[in-house]
Amino acid sequence: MVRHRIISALLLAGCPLFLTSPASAQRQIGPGAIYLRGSLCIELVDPFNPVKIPRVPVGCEVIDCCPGCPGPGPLVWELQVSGDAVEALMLRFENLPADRAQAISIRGNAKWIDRSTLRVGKGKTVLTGIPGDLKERAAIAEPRLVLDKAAISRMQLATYDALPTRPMSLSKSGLGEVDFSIEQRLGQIPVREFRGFVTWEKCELGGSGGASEDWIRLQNMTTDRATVLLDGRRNTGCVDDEVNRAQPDSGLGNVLSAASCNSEVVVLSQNRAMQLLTPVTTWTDQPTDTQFVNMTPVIQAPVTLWLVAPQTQAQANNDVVRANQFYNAMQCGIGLGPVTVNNAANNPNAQNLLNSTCANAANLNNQIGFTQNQLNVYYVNAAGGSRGWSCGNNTIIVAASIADNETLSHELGHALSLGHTNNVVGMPATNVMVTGGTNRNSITTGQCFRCNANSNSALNANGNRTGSTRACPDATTSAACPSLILDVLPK
Amino acid sequence: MRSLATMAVLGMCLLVVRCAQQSPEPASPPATALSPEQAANARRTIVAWLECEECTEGQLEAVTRLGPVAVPTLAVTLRQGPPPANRELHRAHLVDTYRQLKDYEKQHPQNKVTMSEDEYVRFYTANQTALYQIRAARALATIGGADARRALQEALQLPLRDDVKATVRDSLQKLPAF
Repeated sequence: MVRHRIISALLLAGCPLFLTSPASAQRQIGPGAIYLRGSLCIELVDPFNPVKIPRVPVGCEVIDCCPGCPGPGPLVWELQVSGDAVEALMLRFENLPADRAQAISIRGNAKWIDRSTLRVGKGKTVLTGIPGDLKERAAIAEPRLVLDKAAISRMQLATYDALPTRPMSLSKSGLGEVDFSIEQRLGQIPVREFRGFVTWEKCELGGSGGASEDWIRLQNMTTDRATVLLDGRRNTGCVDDEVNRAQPDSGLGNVLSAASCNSEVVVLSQNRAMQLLTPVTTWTDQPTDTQFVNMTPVIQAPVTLWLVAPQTQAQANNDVVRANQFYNAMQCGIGLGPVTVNNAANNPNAQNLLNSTCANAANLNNQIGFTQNQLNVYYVNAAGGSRGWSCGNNTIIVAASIADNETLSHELGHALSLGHTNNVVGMPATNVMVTGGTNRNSITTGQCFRCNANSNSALNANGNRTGSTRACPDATTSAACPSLILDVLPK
Repeated sequence: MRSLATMAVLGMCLLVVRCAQQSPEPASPPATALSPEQAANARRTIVAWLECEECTEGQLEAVTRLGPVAVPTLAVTLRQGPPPANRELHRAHLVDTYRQLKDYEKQHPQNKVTMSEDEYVRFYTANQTALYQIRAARALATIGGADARRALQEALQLPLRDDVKATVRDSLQKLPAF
């Protein structure tokens, strides 16, 4: 059985990686750093596949590098790699001219393994002569964490050796951690930072357990590996937001009768709506219980687009598709539809509303148009210098001339109850609710839960979703509210 | 004696006029005195303003507090937009995203992206450039001073997008008169 589970885990091809971000993974890092932070589920890590990390561009973050800087020039990269079960950080450079690569001086534990790939071992490494002054296309590094296969295997075996009692007696965290950083400097001045900090976690992986086990069985599921958050009682006491994956079933070990513990199940999946079952009374003290979950289609939020600025239809279409694809890929179970498009550029009032903020929301509603009980998105030229606004009252404004391809997804997040995450410890800088940034590509499981469950989410306020609701402000973590930074990857 | 007094008064007047011509507005002090930490913090403050979404969290006020030391960075940002490294990171993100959208379209045919990949990348890249330039112009207007004015005036001579030029003109009007 143990062997079977290990093989199953290793055969999860593609990206068998599963990240959570529990409070235990929080660590203070430098201000302004672009960072990755999370926890890797040891059961799902393929030790033969390096862990992919967000790209790091080569060069300064502002065009003259900083106030007082002499301007772009060769950079110093100071790299630090440390931690458990990691051998090296592999940097594959794109757009790096061969002659400039050869001119890079290495001090420390690093070596080129081919013309464009540098392997940086553990410890401190300093690279000098990094070309931060390429005129046309800057170089860009794609980092990968190279794992210590023996150490990973040892941790995986230790995890599975805990069966068949299932793992609940073991700590979920504390297996180890990896810490890495890249600081780009012009002389002594830091001009761009990247920090990463992850912990190795023991997570609960279901799906191939024996008969003497409680089960979650998802009905009407797709092929996606759903995320299951379990609140209930184990032999160690109450558990809160215990993470399992189901494809479409998940063995849970023995979940006991709830007694005084909160007892509920949340399921998130691609192409299906989030399911919140509460309270769950299925579990007994015997390991023979099955909780069925009927998965239903993605919740559609009707939206009306008002194209106040001319020639914005293609952009608005792009943005709606991006929002649909993004919230689906992230397992939020939310989509925009049906979409009604109104070309309002010829409206006699349009000219006066081309630069609109929320101060003009009532004028947009009254003079351009408004559909009750659904989201209304106004594409204007400018929005008082902002890229977009979510004004409440189902009103979203997008500044077509400076919005990025995630502005609508960001403003939709506000309409679905979310706040900004710039100052949320443990939240990656790529989160869609970061105000700013140009590479936003993630939203956490904790955020998806709030988008669906919060009573002030437009989904509930507009009656798009039925079912129990919550009041989970971003900063609240409780038995009823998962941590905002709780995240599970891949979605 | 009277002519001597007249000459003295005239001399004083000439001196005042000359001084006024030389520095009608305070010029930016050199930023070389910043420590590495101060320079890095100033850079982070500027980036937060250049990229913010709604900018309701005091990003512009923070840049304004930096004062003239931020002017050279903002001036070159107004002329050139984002640095090459940011452009490249953004371009890679847009390419990734576009390909994800086309994959999504296969499974969800009602979600059709009509732009080509090249059009998609160019469109949002142009918006990013305009964003940086517009934000730089607005910050220059709030900081003010001779160098900020000069940067804005020079930008009007550049082949910038119409909406960027409109912001530059607006920023020049908002500069406090001296």
